[in-house]
Amino acid sequence: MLMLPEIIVVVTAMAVLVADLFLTERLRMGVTWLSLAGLAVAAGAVFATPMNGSMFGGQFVVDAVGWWFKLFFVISGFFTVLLSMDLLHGRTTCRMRGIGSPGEYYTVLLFTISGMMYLVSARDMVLLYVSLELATIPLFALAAWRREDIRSGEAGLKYVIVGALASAFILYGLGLIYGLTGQISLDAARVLKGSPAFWFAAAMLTAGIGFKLTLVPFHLWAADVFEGAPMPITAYLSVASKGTGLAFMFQLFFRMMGGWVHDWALMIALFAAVTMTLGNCVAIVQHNIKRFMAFSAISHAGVFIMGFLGPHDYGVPAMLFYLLAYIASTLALFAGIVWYSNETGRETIRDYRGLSRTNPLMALAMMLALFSLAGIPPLSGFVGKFFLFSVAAGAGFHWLVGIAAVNSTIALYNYLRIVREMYIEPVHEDGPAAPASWSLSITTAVLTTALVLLGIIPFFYNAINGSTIAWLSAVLPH
Amino acid sequence: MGLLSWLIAVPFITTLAVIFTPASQWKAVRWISAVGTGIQLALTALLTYRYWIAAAPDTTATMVAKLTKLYFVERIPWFESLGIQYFVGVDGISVSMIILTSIIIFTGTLASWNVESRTKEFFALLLLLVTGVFGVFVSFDLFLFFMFYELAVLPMYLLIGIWGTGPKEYSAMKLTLMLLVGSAFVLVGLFAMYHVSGLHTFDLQALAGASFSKDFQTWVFPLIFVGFGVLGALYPFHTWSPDGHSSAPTAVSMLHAGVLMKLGGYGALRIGVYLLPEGAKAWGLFFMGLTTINILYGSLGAVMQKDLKYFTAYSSVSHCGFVLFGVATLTVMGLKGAVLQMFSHGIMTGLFFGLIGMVYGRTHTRLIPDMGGLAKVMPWLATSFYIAGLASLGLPGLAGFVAETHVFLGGFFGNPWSNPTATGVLTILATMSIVVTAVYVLRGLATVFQGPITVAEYETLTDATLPEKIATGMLIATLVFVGVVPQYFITLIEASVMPMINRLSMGS
Amino acid sequence: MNPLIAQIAAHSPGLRDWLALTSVIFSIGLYGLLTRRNAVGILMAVELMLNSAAMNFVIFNRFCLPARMDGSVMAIFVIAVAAAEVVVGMAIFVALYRYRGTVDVNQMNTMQDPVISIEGPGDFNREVMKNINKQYKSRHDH
Repeated sequence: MLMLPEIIVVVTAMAVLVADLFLTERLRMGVTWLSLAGLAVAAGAVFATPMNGSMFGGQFVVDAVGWWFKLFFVISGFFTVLLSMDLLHGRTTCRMRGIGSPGEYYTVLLFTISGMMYLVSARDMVLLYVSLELATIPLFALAAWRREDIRSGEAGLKYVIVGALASAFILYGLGLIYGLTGQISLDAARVLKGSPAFWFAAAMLTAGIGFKLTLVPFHLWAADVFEGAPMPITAYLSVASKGTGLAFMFQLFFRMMGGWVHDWALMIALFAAVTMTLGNCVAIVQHNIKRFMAFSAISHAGVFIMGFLGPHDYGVPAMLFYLLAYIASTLALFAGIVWYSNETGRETIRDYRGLSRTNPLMALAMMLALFSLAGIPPLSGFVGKFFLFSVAAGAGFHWLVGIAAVNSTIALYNYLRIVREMYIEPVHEDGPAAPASWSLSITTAVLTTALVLLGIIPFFYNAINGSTIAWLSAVLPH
Repeated sequence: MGLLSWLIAVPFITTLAVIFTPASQWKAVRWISAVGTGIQLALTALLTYRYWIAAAPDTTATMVAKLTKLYFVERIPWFESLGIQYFVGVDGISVSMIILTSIIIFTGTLASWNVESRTKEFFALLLLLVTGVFGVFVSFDLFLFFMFYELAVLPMYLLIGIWGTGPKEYSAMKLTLMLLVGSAFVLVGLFAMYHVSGLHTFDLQALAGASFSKDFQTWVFPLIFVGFGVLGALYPFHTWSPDGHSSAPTAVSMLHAGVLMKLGGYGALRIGVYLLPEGAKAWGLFFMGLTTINILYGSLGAVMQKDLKYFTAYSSVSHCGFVLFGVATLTVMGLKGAVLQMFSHGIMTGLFFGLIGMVYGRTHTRLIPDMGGLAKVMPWLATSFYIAGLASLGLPGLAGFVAETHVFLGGFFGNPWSNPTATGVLTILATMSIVVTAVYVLRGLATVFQGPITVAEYETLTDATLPEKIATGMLIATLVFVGVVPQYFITLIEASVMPMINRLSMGS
Repeated sequence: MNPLIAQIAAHSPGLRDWLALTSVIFSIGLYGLLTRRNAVGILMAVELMLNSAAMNFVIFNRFCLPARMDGSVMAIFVIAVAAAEVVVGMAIFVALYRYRGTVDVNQMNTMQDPVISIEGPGDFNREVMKNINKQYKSRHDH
């Protein structure tokens, strides 16, 4: 049963919604367990599905790349639930007003996960478009979840408008492709080559992807949405939404227009260079850690799309591996940020001062995550970036490698600002934060271990590479 | 696990041991580090002995053949699809650098005996840094090399930022960022070689078999040389060095000036000259010119300094200039001299910074004019200081003389690919720095140690303690040993620079 | 009769004319999105853009492949999804309106960082920043 993971996630979402009605306030934690169990089973189901196969006459297809994307989505969903539970059930020192209704929250979250999973399996425009919207529309609601906080509402408003604008662009581009090929199937467009209408469609689609993936100059919404959204959703946005953007870009640029992506390589390289540079440079002046993470996510988008440059069978595994490393590092970092904000309500970078004295283990985990994001060996972020840079160099973009490597240094400066506050500055005057809850401790421990081991043990990269490369070289043109 | 893996593992295991020691047991941490680095020193002795036996010279002809190959090689496939492997081995250059590092980290640990704030973190970071350094010296896979290289640079930020003095955060940030921009250059060069060679391997020896075109080498070589040159304090990129060294705590300055800056020269030699000989020929004269500025600028800068650490830091810029100058001469003599200079400067500057730390711990000032007559109360430290100073101005009988002579001879007689007049003139200019060195070293030391005691409190100061005596004694013994019987080292190094010379002369 | 009008009257619109229409509608939508100040107006403009894109599918279906129904099906899905989008959007706007009393997008600037941000130690910088923030707030309060 190829669709089993998606079905499990959707059924869990429904079950959570129903269970929420019947559970009393004391047993309300049940919805969290239900969501976690559902996602864990879904992850198992992803493992159980084969890496190739199709359903519904080829409209729903599982392949190696989609398989990994699904696994990553389920994993990031699982950890997002772990990050959210303290906040939703009011088990924090610093009470956040207006966040609650865990049942609905998890339902909506699970629906976005199912949308992302359908997205990578879609092989026709209808399913592609509907699943894309299924993945994004619930996120609008999640961003605006803190109803009593005007910043959250504002984030929701901005996200709705920009999200809808992006869909309009994507839809217009898809419409033109449909007109050119006369078919709704994604594979049919593979033969297209540059007619004016095709270039126009490609530009439209690039803009749409740019919005989803926060490529400069389509990135302007990210900072406000990240800042206004509840903290766990900020974490989710920076990993899952990035993953969705990449999956969507893969669907469009490789699957749909695979024969053409070489012609667009210079454009992608320029986008990558501008996105990284601007993201990192603007992050220098940020004070709020959420805004800071938004710009960090933007700059990482620039790193990710370097995976689209190279010879196909080489770039995609590197991109997938870096996505895995990025998910582990970002969520590990966010576990620390969520914990600190839960316990103290502090959100600016200055507020992290002296953390290494008061909570040494948490500070160590956060430092490792930051270094991994900055690409410091031997952490997984370094290895992932190394592979992606290698893709760019292999495609002949040596200047891009230079820009990217210098950008890593700027990024390191940014991340060192936080490390400096944690390790060098004196302790915060308002006292230390309470120790982390068990859920956040487990999340941090697991993810920090993962971000260290991913880079050292070659198993993970070899697994991704081994499973995708055969499929890619068979399917995609060179 | 082979000997070389243990050489990387021991400092790392010691790091872990330090991390898992309870913070209340901070005194035990020092002992753990001392034992760990002591074991490392013993391993190094074993390595040197076994290397010497394995490559023991019978006759000159077989000696060269034996010494040019790698020993104790371990290869484990790692990211196989990308041609990345765990590939370690040593040749004579690596062995001499490993000896240097082991000595410096052991004495550095002894010199940090008085670090009492956050001792555990200090030693953990110090040992992590040294793990990276050992890793670089034994790696023959470029991925592994680069990984250890960055690992060696980063702990410096926290070490200077937390335990430093003066404008420590500024210095730490400046140092880290400049070094990483340097490594960005290196990275571009590495990827270019990886992809252009078409071999899909990061194996240094395999890449040496690739035929890179002259144009390609001409644009990649400066990237590699400048990238590593930043760490080796190449002239326009040296500005991190005085600030960084003067802000750093004693052991960190020792390790950084003594060992870490050598990674720059080592990388430029091992990767730049070895893999890109044609590029080296094209740029040799240019970099000789740049490093001549380095040498003169550093020594003149040192004359102007009032702070003992700035004084030594500028002198380091000048002496590290000799290393890169030697590399840029592209002659047997020059390359040998560069490696010897790495070794002797490492020991010498380690001694310098260690002594400054010891003096500062007593007088609580590093300003030269504020001190005077200290030789009366601390004869051991004063004598050691003088020996270090004489070594740095190249007194025969000490290690500095041997190294600098090689470098100058290599530069003066020139190589077949550059204008002989130009190299000769540059060498003469560079040689003049020795005079300047004599001026600042002798004047500075005379002010600090000679004459009457200027401040009454200095009367009660004590001489070196036992750990300090062990540390300085070891370093001085090494300086004298290399200075008096340099032939062992020269034999060790000479054969190992031959592959590079062969590649250089092959193309022409 | 004016010959121009006669020509227009006799003309039956083809693929090109319909595509021109949708692109005009799309552009109007984009213009509205960029110029409207009321969030509901913006949502309407987005709706125009989405529907012009949906029309494209119907048009291509009608003129290129009259035998199949793919494009029309897609259009129906687009309408349904756009409705969902509007529902979520309006819900957010209503919630926001209850707390802010306005959905004017020009006032949605509570999260901007100050115009200039200076970081670094020292009370001077902090004072400067405080002043800038104050000025910035007062400029936007009325």
